[in-house]
Amino acid sequence: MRLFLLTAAVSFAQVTYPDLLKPNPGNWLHYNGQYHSQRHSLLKQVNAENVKKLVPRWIYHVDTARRLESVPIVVDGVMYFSQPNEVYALDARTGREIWRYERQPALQKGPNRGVAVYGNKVYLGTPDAHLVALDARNGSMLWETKIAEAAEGYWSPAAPMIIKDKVIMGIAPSDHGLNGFLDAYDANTGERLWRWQAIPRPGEPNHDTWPGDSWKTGGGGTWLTGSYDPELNLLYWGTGNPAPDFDGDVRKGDNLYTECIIALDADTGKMKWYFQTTPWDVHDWDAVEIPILVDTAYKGQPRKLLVQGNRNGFYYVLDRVTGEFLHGTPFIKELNWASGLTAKGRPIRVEGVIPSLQGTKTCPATSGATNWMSPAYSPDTNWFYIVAQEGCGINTKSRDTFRPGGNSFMGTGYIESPEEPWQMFIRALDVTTGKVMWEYKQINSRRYAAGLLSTAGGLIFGADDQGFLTALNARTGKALWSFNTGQQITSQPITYTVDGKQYVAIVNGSNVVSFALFE
Amino acid sequence: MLSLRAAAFAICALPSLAQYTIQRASSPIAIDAILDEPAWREAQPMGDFTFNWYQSGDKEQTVAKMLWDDENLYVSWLVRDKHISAYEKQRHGPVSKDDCVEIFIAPNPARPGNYYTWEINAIGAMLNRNKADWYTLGPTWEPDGVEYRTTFHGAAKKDEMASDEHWVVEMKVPFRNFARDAAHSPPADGDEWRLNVNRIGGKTNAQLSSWSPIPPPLKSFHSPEAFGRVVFSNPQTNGRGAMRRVRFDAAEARAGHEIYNRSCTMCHGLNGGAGDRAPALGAQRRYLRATSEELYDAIKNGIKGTGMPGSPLAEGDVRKIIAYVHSLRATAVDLDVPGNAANGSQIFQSKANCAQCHMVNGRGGILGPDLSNIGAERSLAAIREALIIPKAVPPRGFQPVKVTTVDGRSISGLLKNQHNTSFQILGLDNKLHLLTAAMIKDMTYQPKSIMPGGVDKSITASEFQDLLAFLSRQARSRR
Repeated sequence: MRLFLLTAAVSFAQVTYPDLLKPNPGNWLHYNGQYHSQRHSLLKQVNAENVKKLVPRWIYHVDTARRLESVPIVVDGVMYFSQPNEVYALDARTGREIWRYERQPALQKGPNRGVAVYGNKVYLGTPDAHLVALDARNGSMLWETKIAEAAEGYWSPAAPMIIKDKVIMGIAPSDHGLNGFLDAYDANTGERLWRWQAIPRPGEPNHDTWPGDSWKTGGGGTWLTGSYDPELNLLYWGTGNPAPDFDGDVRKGDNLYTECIIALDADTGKMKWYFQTTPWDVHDWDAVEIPILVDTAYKGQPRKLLVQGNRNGFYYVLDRVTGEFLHGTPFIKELNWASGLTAKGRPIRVEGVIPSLQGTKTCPATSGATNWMSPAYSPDTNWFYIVAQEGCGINTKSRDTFRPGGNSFMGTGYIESPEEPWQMFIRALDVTTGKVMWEYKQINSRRYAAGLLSTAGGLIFGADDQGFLTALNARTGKALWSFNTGQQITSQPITYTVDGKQYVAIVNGSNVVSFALFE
Repeated sequence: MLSLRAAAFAICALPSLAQYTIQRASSPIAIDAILDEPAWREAQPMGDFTFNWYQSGDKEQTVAKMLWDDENLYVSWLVRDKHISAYEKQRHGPVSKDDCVEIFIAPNPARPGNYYTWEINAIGAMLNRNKADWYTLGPTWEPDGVEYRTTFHGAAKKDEMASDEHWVVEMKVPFRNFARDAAHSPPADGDEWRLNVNRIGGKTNAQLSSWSPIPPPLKSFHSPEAFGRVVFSNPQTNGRGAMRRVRFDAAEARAGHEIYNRSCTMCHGLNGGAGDRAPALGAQRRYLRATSEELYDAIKNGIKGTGMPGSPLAEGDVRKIIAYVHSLRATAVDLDVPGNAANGSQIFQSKANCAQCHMVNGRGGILGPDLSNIGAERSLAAIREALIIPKAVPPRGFQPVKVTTVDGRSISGLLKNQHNTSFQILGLDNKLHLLTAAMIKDMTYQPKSIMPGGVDKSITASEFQDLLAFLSRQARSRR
């Protein structure tokens, strides 16, 4: 310990591409830890044996916060986190502020899910749909680039992803009849290098999945962060719902590439393959949930897999080289809209479970079987960990007219059925079969909240709408430790080290709280 | 030097300048030399004319009135005159030999030398001159769209008659004739112009009189320094609500400065400073009354529970004072700071060495504050002071320190944040050093900010001005 104390005192945000490819376990360089998004840390100073000695080391309060949803990035003892239009740099050991950046004039629209750090720059997406680059050392704004027209309703809540010298940025939302895309920008200059359009235009393949002019207001936002396989040079990203969300009558067809997992060449933005989870979605189930890349044996053969727990209730296992569907199974108990999946992974729809004027009971609800909360994967257990919501909604439909300027274009909506026992769980699934290995019921938690973190210490960290951060035994699902942070948590836990000491940090409604072992 | 002289003159000449508020015309006006419209009946006379160079004879008065609407300025003269004669028929002829009225109008109060003349005799011959510095077309001028009538309009001549009692001139002039010099066309409520209205008495009793007195040693109607002050009033835009539009206007603020120093300094200090009985209006602090409406309320109605009384000042004057108070509180970007900003940018990058520590729009060093928005954050005075005078107390986040660590390293840098247990330092090596108390053997606080001051000494005066022009224009968010 003493040795560490004397060495790591100089900090300098110098993140290189090799760092991003193979992060020092003491840093947290990606929204989901690494390019494969497993959210599995190799740190094990905190482990199943001693986690009960975990205590808060510092709390940083953001007095202007509304509901923080940012995942911090930690580089050599400096923590960067964000809220809409603002970035903070903290001493990750003590929670003392080093600098803060405020964007003026500030269009307020939340949440913001975090920043990326590359070289000496911090990248932030903004409520007025800009990509901003700051100097990581003092928060000076270096440049900004307009991603899309905020006046049309576009905004940029997602944490950027860095690949080589590119900043990959998604866009929100789909619900305003705005067509989605995925962009790459030059990390040094902010110049746009490529754009992949989520909705094919006339003459392009699969344009015929949209009748008439319905493609013009098709949706397909890209509002979470994806994953990347450096060997295949493929970028994996989920796309959002078609619009209008609940009225599918005006867009009869598969509505590609909404509700898809897409694989793009990271250099060119050209699509290599796509897999659609919910063709002709009428329930606003964005397929943007984090795809996790796993290399493991599938039916006895080593395979490069991509797995996703989808908001529509199914857990999908794909071959990430080809996009081939391998396996799918529900990870929630109540699922009434499909009776199963075909051999190609296409849902077998249950007749009549579509929104109606009177309302139709739909399980899972529109809020989904899961949502933006990140799942995790542990290579030690070979299990996939996911936050699951059991509960049904009543979905309604009416005819809507597209109005430009950021007005919602939903074709009506849904309510959470009051007759249902809404309940949140953390579930461990066998990564290849989706079999539920254990579940942890988050008692009294009815609404989706926080994501998960797996560590080599044999732990799964999760959090809930009651404000608790909890550590579970990764093998048994048994709760080993928990702490009430006092506010609903809707962010994802991370872990890092400073001078050899392991910290676990979570952002709640208006604070960053960082924990370490009592000493 | 020039401005000094002008100011000195303004102060000694002020008491003798005539003043008049031009009201909106309350009814349509027909130009027929008959002043029977309700608008003319309601209009206030401008006031008695002064016989500037009087020696002897009957002082026959002239009743002049002015009105305006969105298109035109209206002028009427009712001339008491027992000996009316006129013979000049030529356009631009020497009409002032006859019984004659005149109006000389300077639409820009800061430049009364730019004035325009109308001289009209009793039978309707007119002479126009344009004395503006931009006018190059010779001794006379053709104003656009002017209509006028006199009582004896168009007569071949007018001889004196025993029945002579008075005559009338009625005229309208479109505002577009003044657009080149006026602040607004048509004028805005509260706009001030300078002008004089004159009368010449013809053959018998040829007195010279004017509305605004022309004190000796001035000998001519062509004395713009003696022009009176007229203010355009528009009740539709008067009052508290109208003040919402008042922001910062350099010309209005200059006028407001004078009115302020004249009207408010019984209690408030000169030039916006603190006075014996009332606070500074231009200090660097947060103000209780910041908006134009709040300032308007305070000036018009006073502030209850304090010595601040309500003021009887005219609306236009209140508005100018508000503009002046805003100017006191303006940041540098609100001012049109003279200088070559492009050259200033070069000076910033090179000769003055600012960019070594300061960043502007993504270029420059990181030790000092980012200056990309400095023009919107600081007053010009504060920027100038920061460049000249070294800061005695380093601002928060910029305290220079020297640290020796337990493991023998030496770190010099700026303390971004500190506490009993931890210290966040941005090193002069541009690296972050995050230390705990246990790591530190010794720490010394340097007495002064690393911002050197004396920039005015290291570059020429004109380079310094260019640097100021550059910095004052750095604004990411104009308020």
